[in-house]
Amino acid sequence: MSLREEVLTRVKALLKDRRVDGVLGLSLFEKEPVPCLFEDPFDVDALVIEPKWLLAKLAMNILKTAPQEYRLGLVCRGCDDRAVTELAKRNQLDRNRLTLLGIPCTAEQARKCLCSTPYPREIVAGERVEGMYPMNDEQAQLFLTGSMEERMKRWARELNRCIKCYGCRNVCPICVCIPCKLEDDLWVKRGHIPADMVSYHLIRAFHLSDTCVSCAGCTDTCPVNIPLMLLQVSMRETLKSQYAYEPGLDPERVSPVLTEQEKGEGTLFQEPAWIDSLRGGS
Amino acid sequence: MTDRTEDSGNIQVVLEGAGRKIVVFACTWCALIGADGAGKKRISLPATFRVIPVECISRVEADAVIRAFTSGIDGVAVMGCHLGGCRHNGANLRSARKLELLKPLLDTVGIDSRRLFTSYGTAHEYHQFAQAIESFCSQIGEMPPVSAWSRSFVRAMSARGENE
Amino acid sequence: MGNDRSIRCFLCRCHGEISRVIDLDEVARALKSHPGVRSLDVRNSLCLEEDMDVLASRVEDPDATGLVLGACSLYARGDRIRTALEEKGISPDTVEVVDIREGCSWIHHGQPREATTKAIDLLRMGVALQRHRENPDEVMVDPVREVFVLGAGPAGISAAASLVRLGVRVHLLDRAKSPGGLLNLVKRIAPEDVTSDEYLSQKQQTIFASNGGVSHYPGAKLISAHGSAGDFTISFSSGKTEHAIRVGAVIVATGAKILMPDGLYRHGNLEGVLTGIELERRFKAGQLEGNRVVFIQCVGVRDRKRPYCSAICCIVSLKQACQVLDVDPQAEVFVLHRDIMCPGSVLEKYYRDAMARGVRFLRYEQDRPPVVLGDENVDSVEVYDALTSEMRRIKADLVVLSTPLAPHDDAGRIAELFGLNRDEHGFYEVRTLMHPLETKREGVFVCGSARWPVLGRSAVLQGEAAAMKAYELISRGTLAASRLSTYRERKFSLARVDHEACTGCGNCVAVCPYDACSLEKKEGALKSTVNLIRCSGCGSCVSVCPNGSIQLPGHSAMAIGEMLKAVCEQGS
Ligand SMILES: Cc1cc2nc3c(=O)[nH]c(=O)nc-3n(C[C@H](O)[C@H](O)[C@H](O)COP(=O)(O)OP(=O)(O)OC[C@H]3O[C@@H](n4cnc5c(N)ncnc54)[C@H](O)[C@@H]3O)c2cc1C
Ligand code: SF4
Ligand code: SF4
Ligand code: SF4
Ligand code: SF4
Ligand code: SF4
Repeated sequence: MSLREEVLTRVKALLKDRRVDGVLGLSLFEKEPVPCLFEDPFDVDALVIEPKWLLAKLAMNILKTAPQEYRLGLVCRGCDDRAVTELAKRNQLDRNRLTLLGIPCTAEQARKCLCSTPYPREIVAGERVEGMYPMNDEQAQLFLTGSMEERMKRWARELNRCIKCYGCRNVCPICVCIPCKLEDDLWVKRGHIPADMVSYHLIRAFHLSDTCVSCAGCTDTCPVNIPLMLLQVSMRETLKSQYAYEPGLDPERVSPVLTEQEKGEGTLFQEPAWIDSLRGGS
Repeated sequence: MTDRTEDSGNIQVVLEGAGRKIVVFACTWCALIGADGAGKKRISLPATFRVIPVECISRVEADAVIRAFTSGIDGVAVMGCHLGGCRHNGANLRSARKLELLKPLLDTVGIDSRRLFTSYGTAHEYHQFAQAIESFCSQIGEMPPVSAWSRSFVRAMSARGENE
Repeated sequence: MGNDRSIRCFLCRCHGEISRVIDLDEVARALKSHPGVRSLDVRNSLCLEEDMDVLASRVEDPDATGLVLGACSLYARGDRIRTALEEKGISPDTVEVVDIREGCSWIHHGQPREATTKAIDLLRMGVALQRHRENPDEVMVDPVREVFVLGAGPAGISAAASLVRLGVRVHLLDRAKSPGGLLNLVKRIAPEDVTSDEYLSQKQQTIFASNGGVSHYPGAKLISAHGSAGDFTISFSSGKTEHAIRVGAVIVATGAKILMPDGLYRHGNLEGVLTGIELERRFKAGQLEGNRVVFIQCVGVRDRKRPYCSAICCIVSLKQACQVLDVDPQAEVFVLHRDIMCPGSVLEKYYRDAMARGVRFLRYEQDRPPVVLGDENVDSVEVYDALTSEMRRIKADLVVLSTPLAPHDDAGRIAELFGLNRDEHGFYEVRTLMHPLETKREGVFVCGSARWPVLGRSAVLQGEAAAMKAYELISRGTLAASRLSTYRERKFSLARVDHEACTGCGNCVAVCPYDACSLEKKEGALKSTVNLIRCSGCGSCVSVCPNGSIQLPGHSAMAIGEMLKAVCEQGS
């Protein structure tokens, strides 16, 4: 049975047994993939699992507007799974109302997204492939290394193409604030294209410093091809190396920038080297 | 402690960095006391820095630091208490973690994390404060102004304009 | 935007201390044209009554006027000027004191031009701050004049006795059937050398003769605790009845548990290996057999798992060693130790007396601990003597293991109920720096071995001190939340949430070091709310809120943003 058929069977069973009221996945509409909420088992044959399509935020919105007792199934990949975890940690969706049908990504997809965990925590079918280390990617290296001046020039060239369409924010599964700081004159001067795009992008990037699930949504969406996800890489790496923390992997773990102590334990984290504050001043 | 008015070598540095703007977020429980002490001792310091007192450095949002750089401030110092000696139950430790996380982002885009100086418990005393300020101001003085970033930005922009 | 106050500026010459370096005329020119500044005066000494009167007379409408004073540092006269103006009816929320002396003229005396530019910046920042300083929210608390004491050991009993003497009603709860705590299990108490009944009798009399001043609930079980300083609600069950009481302050005096050796040194499977407390039981029962006794110190402590010194065990073993000699002066008593910890004149004397009486001390090394030998009964102890570098074998009838005090098993639950932090060993944490009984939760105090292992005497003193702290809080009459701070006369600011914008993400809840933020359902959605009594104004929440829904009205993002702008305005 192909991966798609396997998922199909699961979705049908879920709907037939009334374990969920609807399943969010993709279907083809005039040969184009579109998100679709399947509520009738007979419609499910239209379900497709390719291409990669971020559905976590849509799932969140469905749960927010649907009646309290509505339960949703979600066909999801690794990034969506992590996004769901982060959204649940931030009270944006009720994990108990959501049933995940996890599918793994292909090696090629993982490479394209620079994804280190190209599979959800649980998969219904298919094979997990190894993730990739973003810094091993040539293009990523180009953007993340070099002298300060080179970096500055490179990113200036990139960011100056931005047309401030807010696409990167809108697609990001973590960005859910209304109002958003990026629309506030205090933080990002309005009517200033392009001069204040640095504020826009640094503030946006930092807001996702400990929540970005590296779904590559921002990069994929950008109409002018700015490799936005690369802004997150160094921060994600820092969290990983200093606190062994990766957003979206552990529903129980609070971000290390929000807590001082490990949950339940009296012990401190193993602190990174900068903690030795006596070094700071001299 | 060197007195700047007497040390012509140092004055050079001060003048070089004269156009620079530096903002210091100082915790009222330590660095601000250090600043006050430096004043009482009348230690001569570069005049490029402006202090914004805060109750605890945990009040300093990374967004404000970013905003400072993008509006033309060349250096931001955040000076708080020893990690573990915070009046507010370790608030400064979490804050420190957050600010340290901003540094890799600043480096990624070439703003240079050395423009963000963080000090935890190293500026309680007047001489420590003075020394920290001096070395930070002279370091910023040696770096290009932060507006170089936006200028290169604008250059890239106009270059694009020409191409089109 | 902002608060619409019109700004009146006053610059202080400080009799030349400021004006000698800073060109105040230039500063005045620059500021007069600054938007929002309505008037500007230069005075000689703003901190003197005369100038202060002039200042106050210019404020016709205290709500519509903001004062920006260019003067000296907060710690010099700055704070006092604000306090003095408050006495003249001008709220500190409408006054900004900008430090242009310590922070400018005195540190830039060689650079008058730069100093003048800087003073202009600093004052513009002050104007920006004042224009965006909003009035804080406030709540008033009428403290309940009753105190809850958890634990009726020496610490708790002393706290209760002190309070009841001051006429405060006390609720004293203990899960044990009889009061006295650990000392109940002890025959004679060192270094005072009295029995436990004698030790606490006077205090107990005070309590039980207080005609209902103290409600004592022995054998009771704590169920829940809510509220904050001045007004806590506590419920517990005692016997078959459930009680809910309201109190103004809480004293946690739950002591610590005695660590059991868990098989160490063959405790539990070799007759004659006892813990200190088991020996006390034999003393009490008057059944001590054998006259060759070996004490082993630091059992299960000062190692990797428990890297602390329990502080009481050396004294306890010395006491017990002498008690063995009291029973049989011919007894052979050894104390095998890693260090003897008897600080202070009284305890040092105790140590010397024990030595003089013939107790023998022998030092062992942590990585070569003594070995207890014997088949069914203890036969001897083999130990490597670190001083003489020799193996020794000591004949013994009894081996007494000196185990430490460790946090209770339910310490996590108690900590959660009362909002306490625990240190890395699990004891309840007190505030850093000179606040040895205060916890992170205002109105909750910790004393005795709950805080750190102590002897009875210290437990008593700490209990009495905690009582005074609690008394201070509940006896002050009506309190404003903004004044309820361990550190300050007046809190810096109090957080406020914009419920429209809050997404309920809980970042503020996770980060708040005082548990002041919590999420509540408002019209179907979770929103953060701030408990103003707990909030200290630290600002942690502000800096983790993604979209700025939570702010300190006295130091808003807008204010800081405008201050940054003010820094950039000049010369660019
Ligand atoms: C073997 C031994 C010998 C000692 N000999 C001496 C000596 O000679 N001299 C000396 O000065 N000290 C001695 N001590 C130390 C002495 O016992 C402590 O200093 C003293 O008990 C500390 O008093 P406390 O009130 O802080 O705690 P405790 O005495 O431990 O009292 C705490 C009370 O709180 C109650 N409690 C705990 N948790 C809860 C809960 N969740 N709910 C309700 N109630 C609770 C307990 O039942 C207990 O009654 C000895 C200790 C030991 C172990
Ligand atoms: S920042 Fe980009 S990669 Fe990260 S979660 Fe948001 S959309 Fe995905
Ligand atoms: S950019 Fe920041 S404020 Fe805007 S939606 Fe994302 S997290 Fe919220
Ligand atoms: S998606 Fe691209 S163009 Fe649109 S706001 Fe983001 S970076 Fe700018
Ligand atoms: S200001 Fe500090 S104490 Fe007050 S709610 Fe925010 S984080 Fe908590
Ligand atoms: S951090 Fe901000 S958005 Fe999140 S719950 Fe707190 S106030 Fe609301």
